[in-house]
Amino acid sequence: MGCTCQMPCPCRYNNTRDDSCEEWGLIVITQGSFGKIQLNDIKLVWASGTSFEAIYLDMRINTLQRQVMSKLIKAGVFGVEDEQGPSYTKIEYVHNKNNWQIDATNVLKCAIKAVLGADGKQPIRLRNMPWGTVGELYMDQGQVVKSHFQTRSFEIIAEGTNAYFGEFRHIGTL
Amino acid sequence: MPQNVKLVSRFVLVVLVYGLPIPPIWEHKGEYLLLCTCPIPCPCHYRGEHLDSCQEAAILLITKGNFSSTNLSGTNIVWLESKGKLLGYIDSTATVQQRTALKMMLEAGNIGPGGRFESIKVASIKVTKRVNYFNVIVGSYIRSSIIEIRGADGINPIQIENITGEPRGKVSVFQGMAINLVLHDNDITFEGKNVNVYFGTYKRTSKDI
Repeated sequence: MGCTCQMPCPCRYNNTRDDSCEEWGLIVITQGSFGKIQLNDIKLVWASGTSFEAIYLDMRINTLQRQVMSKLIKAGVFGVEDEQGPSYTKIEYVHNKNNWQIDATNVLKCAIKAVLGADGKQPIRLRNMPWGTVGELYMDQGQVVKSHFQTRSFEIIAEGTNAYFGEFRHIGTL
Repeated sequence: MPQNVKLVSRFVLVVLVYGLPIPPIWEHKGEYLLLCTCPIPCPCHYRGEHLDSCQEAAILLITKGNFSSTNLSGTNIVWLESKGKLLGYIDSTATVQQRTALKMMLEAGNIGPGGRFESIKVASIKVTKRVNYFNVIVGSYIRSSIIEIRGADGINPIQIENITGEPRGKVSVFQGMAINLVLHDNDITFEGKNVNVYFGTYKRTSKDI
């Protein structure tokens, strides 16, 4: 995920979200299920600001998966809602060690790089960060190289700002 | 005999009699507090560069350590860093031998960033620790009250791994906040509230160099 704050974003540390902090991100469910419905390899992109929220699902998922994902989104499982329900677009991403490239057709183009720590190899890693919404196991520090998120109603443009990335595990019931 | 041949033969003689000079073996581990004048979180340790506005005070409580045969366990050491200027403080309860060792280590960068210190003073270094709270008094130079910044679990502080900067070595960093911070020595002066603190445990040995 990226945001419009300078790196490192102070919002989570201070437990108050700055009005100027607009966030967006990519969630990739590598392995998942809801009842008997498989949710493996499902991708969604989202954006959130003080006056807007939006969610886009990968258009290549099947009807049952769309229904389940809509239900999970409505239940707040991903921490972001979209009043009109999720929209659909083609979502692709490339994760190459310390670099991320995200391309959601006509919605998001984003490149993120890791901020390497003292060892010069691995990124700075944050644990126990507040506001975890999808059961983050850890968050690695990144930096937005360049990003453009656009919908009909809003646009977020960022360069050199804060980013996080990591893994999550979320188990629950509805 | 030419002068340089004389010098070389003298060096060879010294090495044969006393052996090659061996750098001192040292290690120290303990707890540290890193206070600075930045808002939370201090960006310097993420960006790998020190902002000019970031004045830093590092307090090391050495729980176990030695410099050659000098035992350093139970000693405290502090340094202030501002715009490349370094000021050091050595625990007034340390013995003369310990003070000498700590001063040498400070100047050599075995403790802290190393470099030319404008002054290294002997001062009372008092750190009181209660649950989620620290109180720091270093002579009349540094004063601060510190709380932990709790994370998602509501119990433990936010933890940061692999962060850059001091103290080098094997460190585990937790996020804190100085409710108040007063720095006052030489031309380093600061009085502020709610500024950044990192704290945790560390370990550093001469093998790390």
